[in-house]
Amino acid sequence: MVKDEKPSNKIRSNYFGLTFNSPIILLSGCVGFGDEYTRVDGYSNSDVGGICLKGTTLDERLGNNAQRIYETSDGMINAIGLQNPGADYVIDNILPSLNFNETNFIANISGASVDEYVAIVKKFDNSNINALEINISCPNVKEGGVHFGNDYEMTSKIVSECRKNTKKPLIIKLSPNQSNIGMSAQKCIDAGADGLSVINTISAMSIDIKSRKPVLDNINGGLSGPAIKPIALLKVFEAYQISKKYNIPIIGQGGIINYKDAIEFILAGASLVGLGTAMFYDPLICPKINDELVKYIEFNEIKNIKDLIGNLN
Amino acid sequence: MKDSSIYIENAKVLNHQHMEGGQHIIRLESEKCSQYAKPGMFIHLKCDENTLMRRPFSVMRASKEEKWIEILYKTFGHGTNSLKLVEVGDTLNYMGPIGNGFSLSKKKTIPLLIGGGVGIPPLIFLASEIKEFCNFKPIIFFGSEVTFPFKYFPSKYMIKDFLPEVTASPDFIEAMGFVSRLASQQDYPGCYKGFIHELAEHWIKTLNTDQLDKVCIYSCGPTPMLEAVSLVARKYKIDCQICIEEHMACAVGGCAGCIVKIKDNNKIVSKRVCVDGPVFKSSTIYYE
Repeated sequence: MVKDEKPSNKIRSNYFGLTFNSPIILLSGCVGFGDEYTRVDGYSNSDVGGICLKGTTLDERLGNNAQRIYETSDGMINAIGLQNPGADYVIDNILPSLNFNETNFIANISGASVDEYVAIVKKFDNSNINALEINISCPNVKEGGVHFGNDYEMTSKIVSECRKNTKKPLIIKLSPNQSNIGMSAQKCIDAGADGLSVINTISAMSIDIKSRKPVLDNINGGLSGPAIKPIALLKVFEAYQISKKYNIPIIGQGGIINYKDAIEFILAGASLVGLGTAMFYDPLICPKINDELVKYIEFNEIKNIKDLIGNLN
Repeated sequence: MKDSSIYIENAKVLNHQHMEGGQHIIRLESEKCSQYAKPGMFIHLKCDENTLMRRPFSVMRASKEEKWIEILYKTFGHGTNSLKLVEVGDTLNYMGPIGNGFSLSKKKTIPLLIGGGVGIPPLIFLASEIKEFCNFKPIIFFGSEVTFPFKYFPSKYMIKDFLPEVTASPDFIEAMGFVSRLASQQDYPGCYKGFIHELAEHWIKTLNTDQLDKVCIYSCGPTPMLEAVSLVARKYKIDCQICIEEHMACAVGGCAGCIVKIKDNNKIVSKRVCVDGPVFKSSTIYYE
């Protein structure tokens, strides 16, 4: 079912030349390649401002062995391991099937080397994708991922090399698994980032005390959900202290499950807000959050949601 | 854009039955899911408002006319332990029906249904569908390590050249006019003492070549059981469809949390249990 009616213009905003009908961005790894949730009656991609496609590498990846997910207190740990069909397949077979009139589609790119990042960026640069999100913070792969994100020099190098090879908006997904996220934000901005995603999942594990084995086959995974919200909120606040000097928007994310959470992230400095784990709980949550955001804005006599960004008393 | 096929329902609990072994059967109102559910498909249920993740449960029965579905569950973790507290008249939220169900082959007129533990429900549904839509005569084997979630007694149907001491058959299967037997490692009266795949193999050995050619196995249960059933199928060159259980997050194909490795043209690929399955041909599963 496609809804003709788009969300209110009170929550509409523009960043990097793109219009976001809602501040909600569906996060990479949670919503497949953009059309998986359209199986659900009542769901529409038009209800969100953007969709980050599943993490894509240069070549196809099988991902980690099962068990890949585990529920924890108010959260979940996942170790999918970047299962994806490879950049060429995504560009040739998946992008043509997406309806770009409904929302913005953002590719999420992962590599095990600078060369791999650059090669994928070049491929997507020639596609109709709206923006690129560079993942330097995946906690579930053996090479690259979070190791790159925690190394400021490597961060600079990846971002600057990607920047040289694309004119598309470049968003860098930062890791919470580092001591100074502000420094990381600064390096990304200096190297040419247009936006920041804050935060990726937090490295975590679970143990089965009966078998005395790690629950996940990969041993470690990424913790998401409401359990990480206070951490994510602080990281957004810290990154915003840097990004606001350059007018670089942040996609705040980490445990948002309702409009109150979304407002908190926006007040901490996020321009857009990411939803992932919440979709597993309620696939129809986005229009509800949109409606409640509009009510909040109207009640507080604010013109547009942009006026709330970083607007802490 | 895909055709909408998964419905989200806020449904009243019509019945909630509690049995031995921490087993429960819950009947839910269902406007949509009841109309489209097929054996092997499942629902993704919010056990309570405070549990973040939904839980997948196979549909055990569905009534198009009366608009309800039934699931069987066993209490295991905090989700199912909170589900057991739900009372008749309460409302539960679920998504469904999800996945690809079993596919009955017209040529395979002797369906062999093998269900273990909480893998029994989709085969109860399949048995009902066979009764309603086919003139096949299935043989049904169920196994459990806790008290079976139904009554059973010595069957009135004899099986030629089969284990004479194994006579236990569920009352409702018997009422359908189908032949069934039970297996358990426990010492339950009339049940085969051992694994369910062993019981199935005893029966397969009673068949002649022509009969064997008409058999197709439909199975659901724990992974080691399905692996053993798959080996029996391979040994006797029997077509076999298995319904896989895996931990799930989204259940719509978005997260790739629930995967199974499949052999595809000499290559191993990861398939999502939720939407690519949960039913797969056993011959395609890659067991490491």
